[in-house]
Amino acid sequence: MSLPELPEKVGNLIGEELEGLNEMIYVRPEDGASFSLNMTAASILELCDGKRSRVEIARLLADALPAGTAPDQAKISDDVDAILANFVDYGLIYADAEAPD
Amino acid sequence: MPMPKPPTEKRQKPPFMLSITLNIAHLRVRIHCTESGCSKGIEALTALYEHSEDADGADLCFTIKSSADGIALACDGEYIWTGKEAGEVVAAFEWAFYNHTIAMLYPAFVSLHAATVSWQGHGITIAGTSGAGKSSLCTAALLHGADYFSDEYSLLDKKGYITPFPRPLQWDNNDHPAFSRQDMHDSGLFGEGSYAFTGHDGQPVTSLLWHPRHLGIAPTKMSLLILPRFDASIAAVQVEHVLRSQALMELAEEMHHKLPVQERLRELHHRIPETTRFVRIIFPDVHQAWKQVEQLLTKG
Repeated sequence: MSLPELPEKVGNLIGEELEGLNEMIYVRPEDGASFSLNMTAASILELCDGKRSRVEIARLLADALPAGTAPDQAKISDDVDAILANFVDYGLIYADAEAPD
Repeated sequence: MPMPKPPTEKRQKPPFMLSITLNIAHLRVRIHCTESGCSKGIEALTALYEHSEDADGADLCFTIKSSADGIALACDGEYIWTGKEAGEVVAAFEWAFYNHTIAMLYPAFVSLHAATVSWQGHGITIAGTSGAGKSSLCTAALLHGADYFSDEYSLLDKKGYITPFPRPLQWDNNDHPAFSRQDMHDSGLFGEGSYAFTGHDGQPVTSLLWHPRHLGIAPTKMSLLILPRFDASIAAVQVEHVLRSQALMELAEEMHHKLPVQERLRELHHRIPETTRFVRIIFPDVHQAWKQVEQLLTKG
């Protein structure tokens, strides 16, 4: 499966942060499906605005990690791609050919 | 000259009348029935709720009486159903009774499609779609001394307690592969009721209602939430701990109220105690599954 160059969160997805859970729950109103993401995955999803590239998302994520704790950029990029692939599988971002104009 | 008396309407008292008032959570629900053919079924369906002697004031009032077209069911004067056959009207009453009561209890209570029992002071809620095994696990719990709260409508208040809504215990089929009728009777823990009606296919149907004798009276705190799954293909019971977020998402699908999903999640998160434990129990045998629940609760 090829990942979109400019990942974009699907429209109408509603994020709900439940106090004390340290997780985000996303709800897709069309079918009522809900998904739980840890805060790192949730921040990646929020960066998927259809304008940022996957590389840029990985760089922003690396910048947000405390100095000295971040793995190398290639590892972060691989991890971000793996998470984006999951997002595509679960319909949280548009697949390569699906994004609206 | 004496004033003429105004004409008085001649009303015939119905030859038969069943009039009961039920206390359900903070609601008073009254049922007036003047159709003798419906009374046995209605009494069987409402036998386990707290009955009130006081007939004054009601939050909901169901009436069942004869009309030109048959037997008419109404709630607070609003027409619900008319049928020729008593059993059909009792079935309509059962559906309307649950729906109207549950709707009126919200937002003080949210109703979950779940069974609840209390065992040795632990409130156990068993949530899942039909066929997942919640009524089976509930029956096993009752046979092991648990108090009965509900097999289908678990009323969760804002402090994390479940209030009794003891509709009669019903299985999907009248006969259950894990519990013979003889064993149920021999246990001494259940009474039995029923009502008969004609099904969609024109065949007679008798709905069997079990009346657990040990009922929960005071609300019980939800200590354990079980997500059951019957699976005949596995050899032994599997118990998996479930994250709160996962449990909330699954439970949101089991709420009876038509709310947006995110609102359901919020309601559940605010109401379910932080100390509640969540487990998924996959089982080939319900008696083994209940043993696992006992171990979970006694070993901590």
